[in-house]
Amino acid sequence: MIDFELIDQARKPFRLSAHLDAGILLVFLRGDW
Amino acid sequence: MAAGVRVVAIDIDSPEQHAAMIEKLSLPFPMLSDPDRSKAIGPFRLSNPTDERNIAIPALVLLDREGSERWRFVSRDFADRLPEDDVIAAARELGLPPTSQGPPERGDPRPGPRAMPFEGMSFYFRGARFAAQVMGLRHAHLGESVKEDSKAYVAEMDRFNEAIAALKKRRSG
Repeated sequence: MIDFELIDQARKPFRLSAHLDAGILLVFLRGDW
Repeated sequence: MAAGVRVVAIDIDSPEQHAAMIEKLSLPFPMLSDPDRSKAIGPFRLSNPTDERNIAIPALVLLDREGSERWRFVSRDFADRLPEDDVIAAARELGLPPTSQGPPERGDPRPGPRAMPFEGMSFYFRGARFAAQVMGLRHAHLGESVKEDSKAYVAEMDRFNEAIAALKKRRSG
């Protein structure tokens, strides 16, 4: 699997593997807004 | 959510832009920053090499509880978005038990310089709808695919406008 740690909107770290007690829908957006 | 998945959005924007987006649209899920595309956008092969800023190709990726990819939808372009019902149907196919998702933490909202104000969104979608509709009419002679594309985009703008109207109603009620 691809794991990653990114920063959320509150500048808190979000590691994907720590949230796999459910399925995850990753929504990739264009951004630059 | 009932389909057993939680939603997480990812793009290149800053946490403050994300906080502003979440506040503007009352989004019920977190948004993550991958500014150099190296952590998620690249590894999931969703960098857009045709865009000079190399921003992400809009896409949806469903992961099961092992983190394995089970389904994906990659947009043909920035305006190609799948109806929500199709996404929910794909999530249900995973057969996961229902789950819940708490509201995202607020952060420090600071919209980017190109952010569209909420008040302008319904006008923007209405204008985009008219443009797609007229292009479908003008170029219908080019074939069914043009007509179908126009129809699909008009339906997408209708869905977006319905969502904006529902949010306005919720906020005023």
